[in-house]
Amino acid sequence: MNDLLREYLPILVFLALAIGLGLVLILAAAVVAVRNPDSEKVSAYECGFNAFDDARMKFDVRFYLVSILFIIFDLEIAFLFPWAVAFGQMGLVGFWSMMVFLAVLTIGFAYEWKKGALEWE
Amino acid sequence: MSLLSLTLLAPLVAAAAILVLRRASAALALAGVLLGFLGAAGLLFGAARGDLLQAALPGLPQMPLRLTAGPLTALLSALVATVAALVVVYAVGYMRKDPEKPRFFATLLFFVSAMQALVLAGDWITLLAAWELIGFSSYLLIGFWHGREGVAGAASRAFLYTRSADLGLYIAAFILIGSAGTSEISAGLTTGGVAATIAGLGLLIAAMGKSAQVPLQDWLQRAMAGPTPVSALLHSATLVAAGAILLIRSAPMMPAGVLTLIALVGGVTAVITGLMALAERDLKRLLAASTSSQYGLMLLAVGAGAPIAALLHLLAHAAIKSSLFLGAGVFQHDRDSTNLSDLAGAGRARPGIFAGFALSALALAGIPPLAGFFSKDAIIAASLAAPGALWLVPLALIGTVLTGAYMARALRHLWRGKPPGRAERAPWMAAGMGLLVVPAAVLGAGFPAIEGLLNAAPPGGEMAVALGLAAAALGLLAGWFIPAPRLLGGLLPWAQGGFAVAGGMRGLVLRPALAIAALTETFEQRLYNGALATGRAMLSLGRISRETDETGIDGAIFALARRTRETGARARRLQSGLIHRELALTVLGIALVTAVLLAAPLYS
Amino acid sequence: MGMARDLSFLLPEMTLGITAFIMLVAEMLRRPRLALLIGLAGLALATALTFPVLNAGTTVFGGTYRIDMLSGWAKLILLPGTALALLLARAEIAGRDREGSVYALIALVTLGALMLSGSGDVMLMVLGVVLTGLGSFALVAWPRDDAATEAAMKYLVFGSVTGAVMIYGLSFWYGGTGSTLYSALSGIGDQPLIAMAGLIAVIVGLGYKAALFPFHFWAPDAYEGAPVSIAAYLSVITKLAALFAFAQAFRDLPTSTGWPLVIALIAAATMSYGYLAALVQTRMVRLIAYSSIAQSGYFLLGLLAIGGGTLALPSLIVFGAAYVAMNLGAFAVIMVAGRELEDFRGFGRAAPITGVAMVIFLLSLTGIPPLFGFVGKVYLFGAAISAGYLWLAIIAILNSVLALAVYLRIIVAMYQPRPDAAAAPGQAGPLIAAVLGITVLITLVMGLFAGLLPG
Repeated sequence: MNDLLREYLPILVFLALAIGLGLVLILAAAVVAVRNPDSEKVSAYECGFNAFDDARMKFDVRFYLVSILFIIFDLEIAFLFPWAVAFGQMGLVGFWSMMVFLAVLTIGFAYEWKKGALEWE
Repeated sequence: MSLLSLTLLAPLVAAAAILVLRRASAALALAGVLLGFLGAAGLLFGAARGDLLQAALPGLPQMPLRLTAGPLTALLSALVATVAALVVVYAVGYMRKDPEKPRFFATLLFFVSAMQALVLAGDWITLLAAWELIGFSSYLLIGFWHGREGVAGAASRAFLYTRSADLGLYIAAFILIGSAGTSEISAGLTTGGVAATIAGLGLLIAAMGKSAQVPLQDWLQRAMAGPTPVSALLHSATLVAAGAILLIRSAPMMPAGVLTLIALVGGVTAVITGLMALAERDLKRLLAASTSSQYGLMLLAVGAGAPIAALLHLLAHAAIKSSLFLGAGVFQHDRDSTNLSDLAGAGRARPGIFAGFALSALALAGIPPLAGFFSKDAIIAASLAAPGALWLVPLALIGTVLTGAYMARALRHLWRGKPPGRAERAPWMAAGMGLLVVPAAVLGAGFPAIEGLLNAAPPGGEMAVALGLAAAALGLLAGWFIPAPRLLGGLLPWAQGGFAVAGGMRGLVLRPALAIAALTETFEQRLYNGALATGRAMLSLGRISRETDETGIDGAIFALARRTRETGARARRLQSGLIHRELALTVLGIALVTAVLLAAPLYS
Repeated sequence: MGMARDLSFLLPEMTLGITAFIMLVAEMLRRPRLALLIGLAGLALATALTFPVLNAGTTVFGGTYRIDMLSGWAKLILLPGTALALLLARAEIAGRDREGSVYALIALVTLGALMLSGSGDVMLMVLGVVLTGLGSFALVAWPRDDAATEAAMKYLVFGSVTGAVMIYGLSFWYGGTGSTLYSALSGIGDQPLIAMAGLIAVIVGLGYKAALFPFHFWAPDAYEGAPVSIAAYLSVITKLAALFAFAQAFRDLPTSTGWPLVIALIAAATMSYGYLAALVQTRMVRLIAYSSIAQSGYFLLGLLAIGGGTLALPSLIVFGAAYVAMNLGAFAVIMVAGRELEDFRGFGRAAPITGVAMVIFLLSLTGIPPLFGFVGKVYLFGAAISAGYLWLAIIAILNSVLALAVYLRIIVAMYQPRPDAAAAPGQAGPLIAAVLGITVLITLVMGLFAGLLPG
């Protein structure tokens, strides 16, 4: 059990760092920044227009589609990165495994392109 | 092996050929049953020589499907083949003008094949399979004229009744397989103890359903909706006989308590359905009630510890009852009715047929030297020798008196009345019937040979002969001279009503099942709508049960469907927004699963 | 080398996966017929490749995937079943938009089903559930009308909720044993609460997929909204896969965790509820949907004997094969006759041969000997009795009377006079006729030769 936990120690450290850094940045803004508020500055729309619609509107479903596609490629990078780092110790099996993975991904990508999932209109 | 397959497959192949060719159905059917008959006769000779023919198919692992032709099964197989062959001869005439003749003969032959599988079955799985197949093909046969009013309902009812009783057979078979470790029937019959009691009760229930014993007697009379050859075949040696055959075969393993129960069921049925037969106004329905009654006597014999007596009566009854039905069918053809008042004098128009009918009737009543005399004698002797003689003997004797009475009543109706003009000749029908009357008359002479074959002697004795003769004579005289209403007295309305017990199956089984079904249907909505909804459910249930009362068992399911359609719109509205509710129910389910698991230490 | 050995055992799965991607390419080229042919060829090849590894009795990838009798026979049942479903789908949607996508999705879902039935590890089980799930949602939503969209939505929401519960609960098993392998579960008996959490997760996640009461609510809606051929496919392939996955998971789970009783109770409730609800349906697809819910309950009888007794796996396999044949056949007849019970009125007279086929399927579903369905049920009852659940076997036998009432309603309607207003029923095209022929043959003949199956 202890060995198992020890293996996760770097993650714990990483987690602590991430939380710490976030806190530091937010608190730094609160402590260091100059504050001079007026009514325009604290309003929700500080871009020159008055609000003309409810913020709780429906989003076009195509946004989700794009975001899902994004996540797929995001994850692909998450796979590729450690693979590239450890490539030296893996040999042919590792190489071809990733190639198969990329081929599957590419076929899927080509399919959605062909099917018009990337067309906005 | 080849004889077995000839017996079994000849009718089946003929049925398939009829379905494919769609012509020459009568000739093919005759060929099929005759070949089957040859096979069965060969089996019987083999069994007489002491051979034990067996065949096996792979079937289930460790449970091959077996066919066995020992003395008892070969004898029954020969009986089935004989009656089937003669009924087909008769049906060639009876169905001559029916446009759907091929379908009729194909179904009939299929039924015969299934029945042969049933009597020859050497393991429980084959027996179950054949049991279901005869149930299903009898459903097709009873419903043959499904266009006519009430026929489809009668067929469904016959199927559902016997099918629910089949549960007993399933339970018994699985228990016997489980305790014997093999599916062979002969091995299962050595079971003892509690398993034997439960299995015995299961077999009794199955037999009660198939042999139309009280309180499951109702379907048999309605099954008269089928063509007459079907009734003759089903009621004599096949469908209805399956129950008695089952009990005769399994008699060796029955514990004393179960035997007593069997005798009680049989005796009570013999009396009650005998009364019903006496009150009946329709010839075919009278014969149907009489079938129940005679099978009641057989069960009584099994229960009294003399299955050989039951077997002898089964054989005698098969010949007698099929010739009676075939005679009734001839009269039905003449008068286009089976109502006793319409049939008045029908016998005079056809003296030959009537003579055969009367001979069979006397045989059934138990007049010597006809076949029924010997077998009924054996049953009475068995009840005299049984431990429960005190109440078995009266039941057997009353059953015998009633047999004489209702047969005499039928004869009187057929004979008296205005003689009409001459009837057209019916050679095929006369031939089929004539060939069946002969064994009905002289089969008694063959009984010693059968007893020798099976190595069992039925009980006998002067006392039984005297009692049996007296009862038969009393019954015949009373039936001929005293009108049925006088004989029955205050019992008449009951007997005509078929002695429906507590609403019969409808009240006991169907209505609760439908009520639960309706509750299930509304389960999802009701769970949320609380008391108000419960009230509404009760209302709708009330309406359903009223409709059930009004339209009877057959309309009930459709009534329920109608009610569902009526509430359909409301249900759909609830349905579309139901995801969250159903998810809540799912969570409830998870909670239940959790609760059961948490309680696990308490019961394990 | 280890890797090459492992992959050699996975040839059927790899064949199917590659087939699915080639089918996607064919669909991209707008050649749906080609996609279908590739799919059929791939399924046939994968089936053939199963025979060498049928009785291997080993595991690959460190025990995460099992190549044993159950997963072998699962392939022999699921792959041909999928081929039949492809033919049905072709008969229903030929020439329509996105036709090839349906074929490719079916192949992918079957790949997930194979993963489920061979899973030896919770990760693989989750992967199988997700792969079958995602494909199924898309298949149900295929018609793009309101009913289909709603059905798919419901299916998806149910899948997400149960999937979340499942993954959450399974993490307890991992925490308790330090491994995701099922084989590590044998020692979990001394941690009852952890065992329970994972057990609930499995029951919820797979119970949803197998449409067990009370996780079945999506099934009638999904089957009704989807094309009939898709409903046929979902009602057999994904359901069987989930039940096989149950068997794989429970094989290593000690009975002291109390799972047999829970499964027995769920079995009793599922059978009874399914048939009772089917009794009052007026739409054929819903009726068969509820009937297949009830049939899942029967499968659980076989599952009970996993803890001890030799009948468990044979009973699941035999009844699984029977169920695929008769349920696919019944759906094929629905494709010919129509989706309403009313459409079946007089159908038996208007289309005699198809009518007889339907009667055979329904009687086999009831469990009337000597049909294949009966043989399967004999096994299941035997398995339950050998596991000491006689009461459950008796409930199951009682339910078969209810089943008869359910199916007899259809048979009675089929042989009533056909209403004059009704149009003549469609004829079974060559594809449906082929499926009907194969399924009828299996239902009729395998009952007599079930001894050739494992056991």
